[in-house]
Amino acid sequence: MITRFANPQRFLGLAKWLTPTLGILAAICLCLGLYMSLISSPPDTEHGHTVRIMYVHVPAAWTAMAAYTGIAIASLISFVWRHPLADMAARNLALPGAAMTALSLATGALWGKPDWGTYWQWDGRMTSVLILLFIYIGYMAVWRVVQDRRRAARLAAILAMVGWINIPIIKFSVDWWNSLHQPATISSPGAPGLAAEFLTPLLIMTFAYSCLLGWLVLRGMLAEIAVQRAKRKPKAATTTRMEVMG
Amino acid sequence: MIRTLLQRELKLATRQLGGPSLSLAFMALFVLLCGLALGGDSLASRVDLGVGLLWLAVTLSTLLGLDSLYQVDQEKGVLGQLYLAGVSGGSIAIAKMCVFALVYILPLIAIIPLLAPLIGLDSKPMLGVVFSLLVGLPGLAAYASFTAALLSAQRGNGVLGVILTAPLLIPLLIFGIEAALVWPEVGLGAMQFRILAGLSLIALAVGGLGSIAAIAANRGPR
Amino acid sequence: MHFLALQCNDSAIMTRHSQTVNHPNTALDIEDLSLSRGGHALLQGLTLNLGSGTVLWLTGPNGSGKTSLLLACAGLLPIDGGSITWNGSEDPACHVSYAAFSGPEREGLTVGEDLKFWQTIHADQTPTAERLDPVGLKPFIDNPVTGLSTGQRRRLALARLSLMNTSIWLLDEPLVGLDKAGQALVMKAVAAHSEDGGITLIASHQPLKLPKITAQQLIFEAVA
Repeated sequence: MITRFANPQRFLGLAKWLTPTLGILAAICLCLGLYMSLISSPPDTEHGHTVRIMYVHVPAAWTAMAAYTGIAIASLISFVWRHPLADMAARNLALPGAAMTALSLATGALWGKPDWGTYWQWDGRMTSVLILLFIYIGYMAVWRVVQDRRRAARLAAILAMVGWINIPIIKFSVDWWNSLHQPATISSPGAPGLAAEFLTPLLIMTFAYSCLLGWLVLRGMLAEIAVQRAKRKPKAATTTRMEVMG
Repeated sequence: MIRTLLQRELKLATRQLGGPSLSLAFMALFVLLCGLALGGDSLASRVDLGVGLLWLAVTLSTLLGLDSLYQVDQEKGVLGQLYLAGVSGGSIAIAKMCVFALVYILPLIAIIPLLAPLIGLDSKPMLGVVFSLLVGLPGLAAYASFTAALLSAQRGNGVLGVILTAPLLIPLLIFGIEAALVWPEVGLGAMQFRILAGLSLIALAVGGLGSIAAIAANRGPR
Repeated sequence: MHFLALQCNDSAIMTRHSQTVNHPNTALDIEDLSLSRGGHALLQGLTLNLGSGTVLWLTGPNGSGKTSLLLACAGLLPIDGGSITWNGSEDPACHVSYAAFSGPEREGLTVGEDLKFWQTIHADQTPTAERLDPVGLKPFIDNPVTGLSTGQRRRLALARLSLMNTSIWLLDEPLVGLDKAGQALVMKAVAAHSEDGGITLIASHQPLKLPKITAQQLIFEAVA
């Protein structure tokens, strides 16, 4: 399975049709999903029109988590099999993932204001997502500061795996801390009812976000491969020859 | 092998006390600044704030000291030479963690009794802080070692070290503070202490393995 | 482990205590090696099969890849392609000694403490003073490493080399900063190592004056 896609040529062949497909799918589903969620779906009985933020917010949070899991899996592959495509995938997942995390935080805050009366709530989920953003920032910073590409890949992979092991522990700790310090007076705006008229646009938006993420990652990887090919010199800079000293 | 490494590390660390003593000074200064900024009296009236503040002070001071842990050995090629001598990364990581715990973190815990009066913390919650920090010590040292090993070939990235380590330390921070708060009533058998000990051991395992992997990745010159 | 002993006096004579060859089947095999550093390709398709007793002198302009080749041979630089085996093993540990231009000695230790540490690591039983004596550092045994000059650090590196019982030596600019006697010490050590069956790779801008040994030269040339 891993060696199957190990071949960059095979990857390029796959990416050639997959990238535009994902891009077009993302565009279509985003238009459809946004229309359904913002215009055609009914307002919620409890939250009113603010429920529409959910269709942007929840898929962003899910994709942010999925992107980090993707980074962790790619990092494991890169660490064990030292496959350059895997660390390229991990590297290119980071920025879209961080953007999704930031988007979910921003939309969460916008949703919180009308529903909770405050932009920020020390809620277990929101706090964990904010911590996830810092983990993303650290991960991207390691790629930036380490000059040597191979070493950067190695160190970033180690960091991503350690971070991934810690995410459930952090979530558990923050939830536990939250249960002590926040009396559960505020109804958390999670899934409202999840009737079909809410669920359908939510699923379409989630699918659209996933396609968008895939498209962004593949685009990033293709760009990186193109840069590497352009930089690669046909010959090594040095030749050697042997002589026996007289 | 670990003993040889440990002896050398201790010798080096105790002769170059600049780093640890600066961390101590930073911690005292941090507590002083918090007292000034938040009001010493309001801190004195809230035990939970004082406990949290001390945990935070120790954690931040620990993070400030970590960048020197592997950096010199990486630069001078000691890590490479140890690799060629067949010394395992595990031995190096264990020696480094022990020395970091002994020379950097323990003094920070030891001056807590001196700083507690500044924020009006009584001896009982103060002892709670000391005990919870001692239980969290292996985890703190392990993650400090992990980040230090990860960034050992990068000079002047102290801030990045803090950013990388702080999220990993959040569980220890949360349960450490809670454990310290329940200590006066429940003692060491509290659920919080047991969870803290568990987290500390998990951190030791993850940070230790991470350190070994990072040492291997950084053994060559940069 | 008296596989070589160095004596430091005016004529810098070296004597070998043992007449048996310590490293009879040494082999360093580099197959189709590709190397790059910092994203720049340096070498491609280098194949070298070095056998017991070989002394290989690496010469070439700065930046041509001499140090990188030595680092790769020490397993300290990841290779892009090909393979390197050390006495048939995939792992350089315990087969290779690598002496970089600036050594692993740590400020804050004395000369004796630093050398003693590496002796313990390499299970070398000889008294530290006896290791320092041949390179002329015995009077400095209790001096801090900080006070050593460049040449004295090179001599310390030579003492470190003498205590490791490894068959493959990789020396990066071992002659720089050394006086005549010091350079002669290095040459004698290399010659003795070669007679002992060991392999030595030396990157140096200075010519090698090896007694009784014919070195091979690997010339690095920039591609036009």
